Amino acid sequence: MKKFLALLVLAILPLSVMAHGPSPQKVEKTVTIKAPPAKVWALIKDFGNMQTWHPGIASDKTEQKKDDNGDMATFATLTLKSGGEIVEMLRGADDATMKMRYEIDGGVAPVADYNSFMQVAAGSGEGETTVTWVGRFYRTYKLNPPIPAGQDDETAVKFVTDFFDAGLAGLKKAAEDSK
Amino acid sequence: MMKKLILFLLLLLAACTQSSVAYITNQGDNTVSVIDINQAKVTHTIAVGKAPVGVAISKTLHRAFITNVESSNISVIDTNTNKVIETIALQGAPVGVALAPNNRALYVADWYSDRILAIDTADYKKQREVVVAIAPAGLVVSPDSKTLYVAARDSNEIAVIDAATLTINRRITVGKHPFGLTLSNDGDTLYAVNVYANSVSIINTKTWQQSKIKVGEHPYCAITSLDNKTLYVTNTQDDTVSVIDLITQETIATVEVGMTPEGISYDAASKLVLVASWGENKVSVIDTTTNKLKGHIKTGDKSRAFGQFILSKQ
Repeated sequence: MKKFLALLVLAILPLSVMAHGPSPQKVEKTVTIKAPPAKVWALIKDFGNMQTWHPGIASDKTEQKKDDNGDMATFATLTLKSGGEIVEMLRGADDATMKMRYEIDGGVAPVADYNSFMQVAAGSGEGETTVTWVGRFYRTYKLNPPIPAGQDDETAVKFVTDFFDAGLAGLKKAAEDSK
Repeated sequence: MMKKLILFLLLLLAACTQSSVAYITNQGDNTVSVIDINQAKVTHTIAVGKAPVGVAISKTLHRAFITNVESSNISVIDTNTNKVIETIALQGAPVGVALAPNNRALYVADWYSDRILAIDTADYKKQREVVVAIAPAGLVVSPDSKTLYVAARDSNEIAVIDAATLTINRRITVGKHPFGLTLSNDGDTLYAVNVYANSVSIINTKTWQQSKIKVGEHPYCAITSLDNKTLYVTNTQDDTVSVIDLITQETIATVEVGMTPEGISYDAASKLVLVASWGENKVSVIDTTTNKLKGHIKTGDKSRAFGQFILSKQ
């Protein structure tokens, strides 16, 4: 019941792009995959098909619409298996550097002002790839302490850490299995 | 006699090679890294409060003031001994900090309570305050110490405040989400870095005319060279520094630096610009005579260094 209430609170919290906490948080995770970089990059750059490798995502759909500055951008709505949605905006996917950048624009993720990138690079071994996933974000609570549970730094960091860990394990599996 | 002579020569050598010093706040491990700029290395690591962000330095008072946003206080460092000698307790979330050039007042921005504190540097208990606008961030004081400029991030404006009376004289609308502020050395030009607009507002502080120049993605902070001819801007989400010729208002170089560059300061003595890299726990050093990266200095976890963080020996 408590968990349900916490989720309910998270779900109805408006994810504002305005004020945020004063200290940005960071999660950085790396995985080594036994598959060529081009193959791994093809999975990552396919923004809007994250469900093909992230085990926490039930479905993913993209649409083109204007961003805050009035420019056309690609948005993806991820439906989580645990319930709720996350709206992401693609900031760029560069084939030359194999770097994909995106931000979170709404949904149930307990973070504010979230921006992130995934970097694909050749690994140290033959046919190996390393993927680094870095997220920078703030907690959702915007006022002076006391900070309510579920809106603090720890909750934000845990959510992103779990999302990255599950995602990178899934990415490794997807890239190594489909040989 | 000989001993005395040697001692004298050593002292002379020390004086000649004396370097400017940088005070870098490390949010992640609650420390300040003290960097000897000539040697390009950390000489001291000082424990401060929780999640330190802002830095203000007084050469005259030999003090470094560090804002600790999560522990709601300010660590006062004696720059002669590099030890914390006092902690000033506050209400709220101190982020931006600046010192009046006459060293009499320390201004602190309270991120959540939308106000600015003016702390008497002769008696830290003497504090005045003014409510400004939503999420005050960057602060800068005019060379004559009479005017305080405040970037109000979520109000998209700069407040121009009479430092003596703490009266808001003017509000200037700039680009979306102004964060860092800096002034030309003569005080005639104000630069406001607009995070969401990817631009810098250039404001004439006599006529209040404003122009804007484009920079990189999510810029944070800016600093001018001593001759006021060049502006350096950190682009947090491009991992670069834009180098702008202020006469032509054109970008003349884009220097790749450490991940998520935040605070930036210019050292007149060495003609180097130092940039705190939050994402890679280091300081990137730019040689302003070539506008090229000179190297990196390892610091602590999540370096921010928001404010003027160099104790200049010039």
